[in-house]
Amino acid sequence: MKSLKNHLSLIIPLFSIFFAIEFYVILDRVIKSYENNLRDDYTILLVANKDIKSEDVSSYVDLSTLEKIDPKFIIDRLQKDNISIDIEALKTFLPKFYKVKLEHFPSSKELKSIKERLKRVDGVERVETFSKSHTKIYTLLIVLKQISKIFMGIIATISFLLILKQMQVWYLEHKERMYIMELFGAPLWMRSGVLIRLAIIDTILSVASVYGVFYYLLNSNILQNLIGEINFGFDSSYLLNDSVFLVGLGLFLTLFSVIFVSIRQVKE
Amino acid sequence: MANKVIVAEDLTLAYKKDEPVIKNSSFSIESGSFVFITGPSGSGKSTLIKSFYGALKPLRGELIIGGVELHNIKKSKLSFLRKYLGIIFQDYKLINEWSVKKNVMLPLLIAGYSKEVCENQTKKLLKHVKLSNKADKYPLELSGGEQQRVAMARALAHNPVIILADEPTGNLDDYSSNLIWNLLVGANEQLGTTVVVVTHHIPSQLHINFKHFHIEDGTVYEIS
Ligand SMILES: Nc1ncnc2c1ncn2[C@@H]1O[C@H](COP(=O)(O)OP(=O)(O)O)[C@@H](O)[C@H]1O
Ligand SMILES: [Mg+2]
Repeated sequence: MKSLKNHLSLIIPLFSIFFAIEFYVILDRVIKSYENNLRDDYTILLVANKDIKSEDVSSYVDLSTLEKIDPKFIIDRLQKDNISIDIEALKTFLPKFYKVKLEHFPSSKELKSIKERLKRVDGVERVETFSKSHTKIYTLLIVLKQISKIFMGIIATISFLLILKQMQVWYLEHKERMYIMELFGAPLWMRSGVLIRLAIIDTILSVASVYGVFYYLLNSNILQNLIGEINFGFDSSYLLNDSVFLVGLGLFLTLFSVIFVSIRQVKE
Repeated sequence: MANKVIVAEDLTLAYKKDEPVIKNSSFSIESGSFVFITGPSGSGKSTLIKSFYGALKPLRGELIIGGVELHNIKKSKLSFLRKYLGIIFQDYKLINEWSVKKNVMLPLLIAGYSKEVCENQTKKLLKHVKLSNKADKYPLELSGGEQQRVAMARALAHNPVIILADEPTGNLDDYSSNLIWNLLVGANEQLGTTVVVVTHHIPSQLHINFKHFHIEDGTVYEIS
């Protein structure tokens, strides 16, 4: 019972830290993926009186692609309506249309200045932006990210204090034994053997719990629907990679604590 | 000149800088000798023993044990020396969460012996201290005399070069006291182990050649 309590008092703060980090990481990933979707969907239309090259545009905005729109669709339209025209003459007479894709999805404010800058490109006569602004979901995600950042800070601080507290308990509990072992010349790793085992086991258990909880959440119906809605390709291999990272972080934290406790021991 | 295993030169020991417990004492102990240290209570006997196993760094002077300069040593290098020592404390210092067997095994585990060697050696030692039937008990289930016999077995386990004992029989029953004295003498005579024992009075029943140091008023005197 005592050892269970010992484990829990380390596992709970570790779990909290890992949960907060993982939550933030996943949220960040969702937002990035969502922004990418928005960006891919978003185009600005340029109407120009002469040919424009990407270099001309990229010096004004961070351009992803500049694509010329074939005027064929206009001509097709005209032909369908049985209007007889000199197609070649029309082609020279029609303005040039371009599709501009940006590196990232602009905010409404940015969009205004982007529009102004694009107008300055030589040959551009008109810039057509679509005020398809940020959706409610996007705003919600951003707010969530800010909140989770604050929570992550609070949780990390409280949890770290709890881990320190636990270290103190370890210190008192193992002081005598570690001192006796030291008197007989036991090396640090041997004196701290029990604590090292405790650190490794508890880290792995905490990460496994975090993995479990997120696996369950991300596969639950409500979240699946939401994820589908914002077009987030959830891949459980992410979770596995994150877990490896968290185990690394956890071992660093706990083993650091163990060494800290053990070194303090030497000062007796 | 015989091989000196402990050499103190102008040794001063103190817990607080301006309150030396041992002052400017010089003495040496030859390898294979049996040494008694006596002195009134509070005179610094335990303090001296502590400095021998590196738990108290000399304030001034030199202290060399088995070639290791304890006045210069880094804390992290102490484990090297301690592997060659067998220490017995007045308050036993057993690990209460460990079985008797594992306590005795500690120095062997530290030395890195195989499981088989550890088991065999421990069995042999527990027989020597007449505790074969208590191998799986825990220290707190044993009497004081029995606990000290466990500590004795632990101190002998790794065939130490020097045994340091601080009032090992201080408050033990006669049976345990005799057993411990016999084992200390045995180690000294049969294995040539240097034995340094702090004691209130020198037991008269022991027929050995010994050296006797007496501590009084912060000075270590060589009596015989
Ligand atoms: N850890 C300590 N810190 C400060 N003073 C100590 C400590 N241990 C012992 N002393 C003091 O050092 C002196 C010698 O103590 P000690 O060596 O234990 O005496 P003895 O073993 O001869 O009875 C005593 O005055 C004691 O109060
Ligand atoms: Mg004493």
